[in-house]
Amino acid sequence: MSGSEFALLPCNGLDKSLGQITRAAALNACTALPELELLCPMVCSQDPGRYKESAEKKKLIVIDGCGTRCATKTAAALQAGIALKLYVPDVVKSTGSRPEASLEPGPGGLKVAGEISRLIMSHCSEKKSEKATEAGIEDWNRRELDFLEAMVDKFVLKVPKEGYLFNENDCWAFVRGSTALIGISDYLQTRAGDIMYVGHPDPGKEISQFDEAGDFESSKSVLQVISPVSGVVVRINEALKEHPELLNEDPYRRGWIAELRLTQLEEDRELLLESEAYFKNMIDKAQREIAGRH
Amino acid sequence: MSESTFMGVPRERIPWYPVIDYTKCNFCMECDKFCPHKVFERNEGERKLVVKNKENCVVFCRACAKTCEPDALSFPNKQETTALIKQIRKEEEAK
Repeated sequence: MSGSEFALLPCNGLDKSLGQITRAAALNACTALPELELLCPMVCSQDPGRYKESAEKKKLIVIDGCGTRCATKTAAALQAGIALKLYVPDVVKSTGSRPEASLEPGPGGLKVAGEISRLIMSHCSEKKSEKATEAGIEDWNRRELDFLEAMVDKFVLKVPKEGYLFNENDCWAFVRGSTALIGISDYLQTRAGDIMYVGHPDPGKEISQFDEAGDFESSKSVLQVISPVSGVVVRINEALKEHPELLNEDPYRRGWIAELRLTQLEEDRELLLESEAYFKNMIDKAQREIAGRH
Repeated sequence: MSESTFMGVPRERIPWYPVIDYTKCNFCMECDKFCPHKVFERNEGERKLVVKNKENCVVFCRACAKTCEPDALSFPNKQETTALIKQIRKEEEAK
């Protein structure tokens, strides 16, 4: 097990109980993996040049104690890609622990800290599978697409002219036989801004239409992928782990998020839109949003 | 027709918005800080946070619940909401 490829950036929430859990988890992980570089969030903010080389060469693991997401925002300021993001409230829920409200973590808080450090160690020791060229995906990624385009405010928003089905949550499905690739629309990636992290659904997970099928995070916000179709996750786009920016650059091709084995497409179609209808819906939404800002 | 619709259904006919369990809420305001749609509003009274703008809530979005450490936010049943939307669409088509 080695942590030399990774750097760990915890939040600095020393005034909050969940921040203290973050601190304990980071210390646990760095004790277990001495080669894991620990980045001080204060130094990152005050003297970011100190960690320039680490930000360029290493994969970053961030731990956010609360919804303020200081660690994620600090990573954005460093322009570092995030390989793993841990959010303490999520781990609290997954462990079923009840952390104490005090600044000194008690048994509940320490259990959460232990689980976070275990997740970090597990991630650092994962054997990365070779990037196998999945059948058909590379060709799919390179297809030519014709777009419907609209200029709203200063943004050009695109929707592929055919082949895609959308829900009104700005997510798409592209049906390929008995499976569908899913992803987010150009409008949603534009709203999010620079995407720094993509959370995939778990392979094997059964998802119903309009269930969450992952999430993604920019320096501005955390947004959910709301699945347009029902199905079982058969694979995820591993490329997004290292290149989340593909969601911004190419949301309809290389930015696909997951592939689902479809379970009730005909029923799901009732609440899906084809390109022209979604295009109109998207422009209405974008114009309302712009009007609301002025 | 309402200005805001979801799949052609007026937004006010879709009861999708968070409900705050005040026995769990610790008023940390993380959900309010997170939500870009101004669904919540802070109050001066005993209940320092309320769900003020229900129709601003994006149908099927539950992202604010993820920010809630005490798990005080709940949403309606998704299947029932989907069935209701389909039913209203059928009623509207039949008119």
